[in-house]
Amino acid sequence: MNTIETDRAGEDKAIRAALFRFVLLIALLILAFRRDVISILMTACEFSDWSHALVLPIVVLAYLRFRGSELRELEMSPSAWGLLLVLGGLFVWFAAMTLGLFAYLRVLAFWTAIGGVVLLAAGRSVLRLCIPPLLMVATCLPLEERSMDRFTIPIQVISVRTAATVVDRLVGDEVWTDGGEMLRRTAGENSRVGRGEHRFGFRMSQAGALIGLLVVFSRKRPVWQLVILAISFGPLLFCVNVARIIVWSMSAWSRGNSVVDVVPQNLSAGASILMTFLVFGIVVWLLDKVSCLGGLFYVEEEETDDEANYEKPPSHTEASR
Amino acid sequence: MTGRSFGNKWFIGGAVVLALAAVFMQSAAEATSRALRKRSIPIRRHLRDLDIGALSDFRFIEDMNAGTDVVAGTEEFIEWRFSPTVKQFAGVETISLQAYYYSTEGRPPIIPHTPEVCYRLLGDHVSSINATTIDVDLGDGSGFGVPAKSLRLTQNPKNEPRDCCVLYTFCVNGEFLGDRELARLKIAMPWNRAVYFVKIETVASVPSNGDFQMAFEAARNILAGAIPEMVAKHLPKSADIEAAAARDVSESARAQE
Repeated sequence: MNTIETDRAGEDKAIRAALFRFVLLIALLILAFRRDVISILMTACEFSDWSHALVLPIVVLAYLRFRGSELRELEMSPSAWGLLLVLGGLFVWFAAMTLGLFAYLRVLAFWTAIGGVVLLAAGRSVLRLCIPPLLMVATCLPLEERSMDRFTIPIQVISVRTAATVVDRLVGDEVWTDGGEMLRRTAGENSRVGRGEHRFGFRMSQAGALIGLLVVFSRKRPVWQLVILAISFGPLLFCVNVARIIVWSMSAWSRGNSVVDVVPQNLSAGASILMTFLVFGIVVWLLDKVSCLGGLFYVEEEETDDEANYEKPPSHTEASR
Repeated sequence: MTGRSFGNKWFIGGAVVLALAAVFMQSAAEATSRALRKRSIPIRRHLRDLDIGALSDFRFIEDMNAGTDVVAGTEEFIEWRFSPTVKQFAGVETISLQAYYYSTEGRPPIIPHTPEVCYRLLGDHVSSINATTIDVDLGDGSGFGVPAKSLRLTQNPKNEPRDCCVLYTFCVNGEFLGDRELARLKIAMPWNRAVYFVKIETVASVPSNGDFQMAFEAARNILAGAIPEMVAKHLPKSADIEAAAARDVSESARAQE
C-alpha cells in the first residue's frame, strides 16, 4: 500500500469514527429533547406551512453531498467546547421548562445543543462547515406564536402595503390596506385578502430561507460573495413574500374574493417556493458571473495538475527496504 | 475506528451527560415544574367597582365591553370610555381606561399582546415608542413613579385619521414595570410562589391636526388617578401575596378544581 492510500484509509477511519460519534450523540440528544422533537414533528405534520421541516434531512444530506469533498479534508477531533454547549443547552432548556419562561428558549437550547454535538463529534473545523446545516435546522424550529407575532406583524404590514401598491397599479380598481389585510373596491363592494396571514407569511419565509441557504451554500464561496448574500438575504425573502401576497390577492379575487378559500393560499405558497429558488439562483449566478468576468476576485484556488499528481516521497523505512 | 478516537474524554463526557439527560431530564423538569407551581391570588375588590370619582377630570361615557364575561383571557377587567371635563384636555376626543387582572394556578399567567403589536395588526401606524414615568400621588403626601411605555399611533390612516397616545404599564405583585419582558421575568422567578399581574392601559385620541402633547398629558392624568385607587382598594397587598404563597399546593389545586 503506498503512502497516499495509507493516508486515505486513515482519513476514512477518522470520518467513520466522527460519524459514529455524531450518530450516537445525536440519538441521545433526540432522546433527551424528545418532547420538543415530537412537537416539531407534530407541527410539521399538522400544518402544511411547516411541512418544510419534513424535508430538512434531505436538504441537509444534499448540502453534505455538495460539500462532502471539503468535509473529507478536515481534521476531526472532539472539542471540549462541545460539552460546554451541550451542558448550556440542557441547563437553559431545564430552566425554561420549569419556570415556564420564554418558550423559544427551549427551541434555542435544542439548537445550541445540536451545535455542541457537532463540536463533540468532529471538532471546530467541521462545525464551521456545518454552520449552514445548523441555520437550516433553525428555519424548521417552530416559534411560539406570541413570540413570533412581535416581529412578524410589523414586517407583514409593510409587505402587504408594498404588495397593495403593486396590485393597485395592476388591477385598476382601488386597492388599499388595513393593517395586515389588503382590500379592494369593485363595483361598490369591498373585498379583502390576508386575514391573520402574518404567521403564514413568516412560515413561508422560513421555508424560503431553507431553500435560500441550500442554494447559497451549495458550493464554497469567497468571503465577498458571502457578505453580499448575508446582507441581501433578508431583503430577498421580503421581496418573495411581497410577490407571494400579490399572487394570493390576484388569485383570491379571480376566484370570487373569498378569504377562506385555500386554493389561492396554496397557489401562493407554491409560487413562493418557486420564486425563492429562482431569486436566489439568479443572485448566485450573477455573483459567479461577476467573479468570472471581473477576474479581480479570487474565487477558489484550483488544484494544479502538479499538486494533484504529487506523491509524497517514501519514508525512511520504506526507502531502506 | 481506533480505540483512541472513541476514547476521547470529551466525547465520553458528552455521551454520559446526554445519556443522563435522556433518562432523567424530562421527569426531573416535570417534577420541578410541579414543585414550582404558581398559586393564584384573588383580587381584593373587582376592577369594575373602581371608583370613577378618582378620575375627576373625566366623565364616564360607556363600558366598551358591557355584557362580555371574558376579555383578553380574563374575567377580571374593565374597558371604559371617558371624555374630558376640564379645559386643559378639551382637545381630546375620547380617552379609554383598560385594566386586566391575571392570576392563575399552576403555570405562570401569560401576558397578552402589548399595544405595539396588536394595534399594528388593526391597521394603525405606530410612529414612536418611548419609555416614560407617571408620577403617582397616594394622597398622604407620599408618591412614587410608575414606569410605563408610551406609543404614538395614527388610527384610521385612510379615513378620518386620528392621533392616539397609548400609555400602558404592568403591575406584578405590587411592583410596577414598564416592559412586558421584565414583567414576564418577574412572574417566572421561582421565589415568586404566588403571582398576580395587572395590565393597565389608556388610549387618548385627538384629531390628526390636534395637540398630541395634550393627549399624552390626558393619558398620564387618567393613569395617575386610577393607579392609586387600584393599589389602595383593589390589588392584593403583600400580606395577601404571602398568604397565597404559604397555601398548600394540594389545597390550591383543590381550589382550582
